[in-house]
Amino acid sequence: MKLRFVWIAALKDFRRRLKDPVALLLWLGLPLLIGGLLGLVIDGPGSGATPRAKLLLVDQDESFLSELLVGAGSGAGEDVPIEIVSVELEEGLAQIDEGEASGLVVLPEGFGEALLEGTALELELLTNPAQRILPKILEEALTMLVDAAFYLQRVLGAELQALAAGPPGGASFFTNAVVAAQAASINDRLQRLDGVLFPPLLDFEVEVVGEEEPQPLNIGLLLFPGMLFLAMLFIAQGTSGDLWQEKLAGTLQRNLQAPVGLAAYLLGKLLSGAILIAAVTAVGLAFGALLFDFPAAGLFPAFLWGSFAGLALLPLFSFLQILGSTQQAGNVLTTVLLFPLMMLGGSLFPFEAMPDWMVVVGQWTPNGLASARFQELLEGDVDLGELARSGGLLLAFGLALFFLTLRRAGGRFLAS
Amino acid sequence: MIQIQDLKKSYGDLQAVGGISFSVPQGRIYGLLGPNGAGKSTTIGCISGLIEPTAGSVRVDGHDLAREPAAAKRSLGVAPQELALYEDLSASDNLAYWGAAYGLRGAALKQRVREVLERIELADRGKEPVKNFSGGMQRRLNFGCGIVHRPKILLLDEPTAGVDPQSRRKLLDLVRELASEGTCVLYTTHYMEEAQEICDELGILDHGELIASGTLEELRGMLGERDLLRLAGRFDAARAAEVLGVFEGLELVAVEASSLTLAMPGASRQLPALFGALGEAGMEVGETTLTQPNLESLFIKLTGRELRE
Repeated sequence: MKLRFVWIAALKDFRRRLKDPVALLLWLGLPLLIGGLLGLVIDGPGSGATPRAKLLLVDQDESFLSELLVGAGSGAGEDVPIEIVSVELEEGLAQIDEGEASGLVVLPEGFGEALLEGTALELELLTNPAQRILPKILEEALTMLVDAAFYLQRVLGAELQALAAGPPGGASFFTNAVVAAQAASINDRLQRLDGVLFPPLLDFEVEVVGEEEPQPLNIGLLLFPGMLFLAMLFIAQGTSGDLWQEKLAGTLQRNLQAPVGLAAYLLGKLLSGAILIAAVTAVGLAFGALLFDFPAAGLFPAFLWGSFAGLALLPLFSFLQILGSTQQAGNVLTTVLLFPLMMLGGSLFPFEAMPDWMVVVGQWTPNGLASARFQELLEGDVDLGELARSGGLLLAFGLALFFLTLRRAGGRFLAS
Repeated sequence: MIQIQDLKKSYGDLQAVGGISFSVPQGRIYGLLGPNGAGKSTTIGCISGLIEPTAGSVRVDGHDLAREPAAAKRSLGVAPQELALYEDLSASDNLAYWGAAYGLRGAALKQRVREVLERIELADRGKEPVKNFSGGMQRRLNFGCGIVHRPKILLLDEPTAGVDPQSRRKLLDLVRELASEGTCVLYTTHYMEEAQEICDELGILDHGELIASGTLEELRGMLGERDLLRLAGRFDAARAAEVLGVFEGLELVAVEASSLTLAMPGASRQLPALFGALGEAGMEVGETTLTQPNLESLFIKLTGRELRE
């Protein structure tokens, strides 16, 4: 009879929650809301193009070489991280002021000539102070471009000079003999460089020193477990006030006058919370899988773990709630616990972003311990021994708090 | 069905119930009458298993409550003084839940819920949330939740407190019906008229002590055929005792500087002589209240206070 009553009590609580659909939707929607915000903030994989640096180019030289540079840049494809747009100086400065571009370069009069003759010339790059990363990319790219121009001038300076000067004697076209001579000269210089450029004499080999650590699949995977357990913390805190509500309504006392006993009644409450937690875990994982491309193999184990581990939070908050001498005191106690758990347990920012000492403490919080294993399960990289140990700890923790709640609820809480 | 033996409950130095004993057989209504704070609800709490007694024993339907709590509780139905309902659930859901808590299930539970809804006259409102109900309707449902599992023993703690006359009448009729069907009822109230109307036997409780117990006739017999006379004015205790001693059958119940309470046969006929005697002794009578013998006058006789004080 008692087991049946546990189910009946759970259904009763679940029916009561259904009568308040706004609260229920808020709980169910928490992971969706948080996931959505995460998606907006980190712009998850597949959800948008790689950001490009917009470089404004002002051509005051209008020479063969400057036009060649502007033309080549403007025709670059979407896969090139720099988008070059030719503008007038005033327009370019206005765009920089309004934050619409990452940088602006002016090619001054005499740019082409200086390049061909190898004389010194200063190029100025104006960057957007509101951006941090994209202007750096521009700076690096321009430095490389200047280096490339220097070597190009050293190798093919004479030929480029001849081409830039145009056909001799005011003719409209180069004669075939001149074109052939220049081509032969360029070919000759490239043949001499052949041993250096093809293959290059210098090569890079990248070697990672030390053991390579497995990287999280994506930022969503890094942040999502903490966020899901944040939703569970809110649910645990939100539902813990129910004992006070039942006491004030007299229904707790009436339940105690029934033959089934307090333990069955409290187990019913736990089961109703478990249903809610499982629902939130399922909704959160489904949403996470859509938004962050979670590996499919980890979803079901993560669901089981999330539903089990989240359950340990319910008796913790219920016990604290009834430790208070009034409902208000109970609320204060649970809120006081909620914030440290959120911060230390990886729910506000991931363990990877925490100082070492905080990670050590945080991974021993119930939500921290649970979310660490949850992340490993999602990644498909879980140590079964560690998982069993964590499960055992959470089970012992939950059971201990359940018995404390049972003792308190039938004793001082009822008499107060 | 209920046997209470030397039941005591203390909270620190405060004695809420001080060693009371009584028993209630099947099909009888036993009323516990007393003012607020007399210990009625504590007694009900001890019998229902909600409060652990400090001493004494409670036997319910042959089961010792301390040793066999589940078996004892299965025979009990309780309608607490404060409403104990899930306000966001419907009347049907409430009845179904409390029925299930006592082991009813399936078609039998559904049938019983329908019967109780009919009986408490809420059949047409069964699907509505309880929070939409009037106070009287909620009281009736509170009562219904206590009887849904057909208890052998029903504990009713001031079931008509704050109820409109129509609902009150309905509840009293229901209690009588249940008793006639064989249910043993323990009924607490501070309404004297209610106790007189429905109880087969009564216990008068004051400060946790059972100061009188018996049928209505037995209790009236304790007062005799004497009227209760309450006088307000200016009095002297010693002089009053002296001058009133000459009246035959007169008992001085309580004397204070501003009030005098006495019991005497045929008080209305003796009033002129009484006023004359008091006036000659220098005392003044400003107001007179004459009460025929009833539970109220018995309570005043036993405690010197009114039941509702």
